Amino acid sequence: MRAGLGLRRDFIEEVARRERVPVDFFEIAPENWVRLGGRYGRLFRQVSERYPIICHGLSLDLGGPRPLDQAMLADFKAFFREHGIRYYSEHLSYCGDEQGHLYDLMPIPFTEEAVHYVAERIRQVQDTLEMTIAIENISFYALPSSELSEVEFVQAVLEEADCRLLLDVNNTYVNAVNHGLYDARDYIAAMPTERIAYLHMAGHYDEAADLKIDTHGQPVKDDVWALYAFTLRTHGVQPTLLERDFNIPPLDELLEEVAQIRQIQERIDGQV
Amino acid sequence: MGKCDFRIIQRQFTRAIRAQGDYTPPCEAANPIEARRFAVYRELFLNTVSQFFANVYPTCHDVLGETRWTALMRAFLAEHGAQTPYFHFLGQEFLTFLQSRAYVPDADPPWLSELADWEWRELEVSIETAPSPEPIARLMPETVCRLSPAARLCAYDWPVHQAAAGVELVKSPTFLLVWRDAQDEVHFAQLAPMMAALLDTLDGEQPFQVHLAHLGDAWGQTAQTLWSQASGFLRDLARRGALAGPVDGLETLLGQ
Repeated sequence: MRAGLGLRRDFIEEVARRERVPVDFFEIAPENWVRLGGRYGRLFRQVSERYPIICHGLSLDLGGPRPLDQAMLADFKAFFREHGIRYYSEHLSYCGDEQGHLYDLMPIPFTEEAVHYVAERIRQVQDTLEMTIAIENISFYALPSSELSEVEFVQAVLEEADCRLLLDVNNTYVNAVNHGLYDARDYIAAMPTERIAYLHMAGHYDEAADLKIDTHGQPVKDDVWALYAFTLRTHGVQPTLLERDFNIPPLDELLEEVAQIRQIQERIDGQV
Repeated sequence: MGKCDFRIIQRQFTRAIRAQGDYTPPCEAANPIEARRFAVYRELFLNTVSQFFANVYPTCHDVLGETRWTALMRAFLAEHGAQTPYFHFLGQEFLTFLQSRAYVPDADPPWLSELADWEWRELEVSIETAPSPEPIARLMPETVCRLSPAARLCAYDWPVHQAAAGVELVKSPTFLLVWRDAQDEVHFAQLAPMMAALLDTLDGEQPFQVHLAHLGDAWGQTAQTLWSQASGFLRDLARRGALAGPVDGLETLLGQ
């Protein structure tokens, strides 16, 4: 499990048709594929029979006020078993309120209370699913509370929940630029190596010099590639996933970026 | 003021997104948020639902036009409490919202929610988890059939399948069938009222002739007459994968 690609409807048919796509694993959002029948359900089954699949959720709403969605977790448990899925990650975030889902990610205020609340919910999820999950450091454009620093908040949740980290390199870059509160390398270096499950790489959009938007709609930028190499030198070579959710180019273009991930991994391997 | 629970800050945040307004910190300990940064969230959440629903409901989107569509999306954010965690079922939340919204602008066509229902059924059959049946080759009055689990029978007051931007619809009872075949292609057909009534009674337990006898009583015709009127169309539906055999047949399929 070294270099993977986020699987999308846009190119799943091509993946199913090709004899072999040079990726070690695919990542999906289970909220796009669980209880999905018809053409895409069939294509997904074909892919999951031939490639390892990992899940990266969107709707768990770890920081939200409503009780955890037990029906969804039961669906996931069955889905993971059916497709041999052993890894599930979510966002250190919330995506709803008392009224319901809002279908995008919002920044949890970095407070002590929030650490306890979220960590307890992660523990509940891990108990229900009988697996350790990983949580991702999200990109955020607003900092609603700074009682704790982001590093303190993430470290505290990881410790208290005893879960793993999906370290998103692009998010670290975007947040460092947007908030000017830390150097991205210091943030990366502060993350606990032993808790890292895997890494995310993606492109972002430059709205302003001090406002980068984590769109997953462009190729990975040079600065983020440099930060990726730093991450591997700091924490060792980690499995890495390329995300692309908008402006999706032909599959071969995405595979070139996956190959670039592999080249950097091999280069760092050679140095160690 | 002073310090406040993170949940209060979060509620303030989601309220401002739902109202498409500005964010003000709920207590002194909470940070103010620069207007252009909160605008990223305000626009992101509106665009997410707007683009998503425009894909699922392209005709509703065309019929309303951009300005009224956006107003509808703002109302969705403000009023609706979406419950599904699944993105492929999110379209249904829009339908639920349309059918239950408190205020319907006069300018909205009276058939908007029927059109939305129709657009949703087309998508719904395409993602139905039950398998589409194989075509049934021979259909006789003794055959036991039911509607494919990947089919939806719809009854509307308006011919919503003819809806398009700038088209005036004339109110008339309309029966539509939409289904996904074994090759995962989605088809639809307009039905005569008698055919809709027949398909609605098919239960996978009794043969056609039993259902036709009941219908014949109601419609003042013999079962034989009804069969001779309906059999050509029924055979066509069966060949094109809209009908499934008895329930046992499906279980055999699932067991494969």
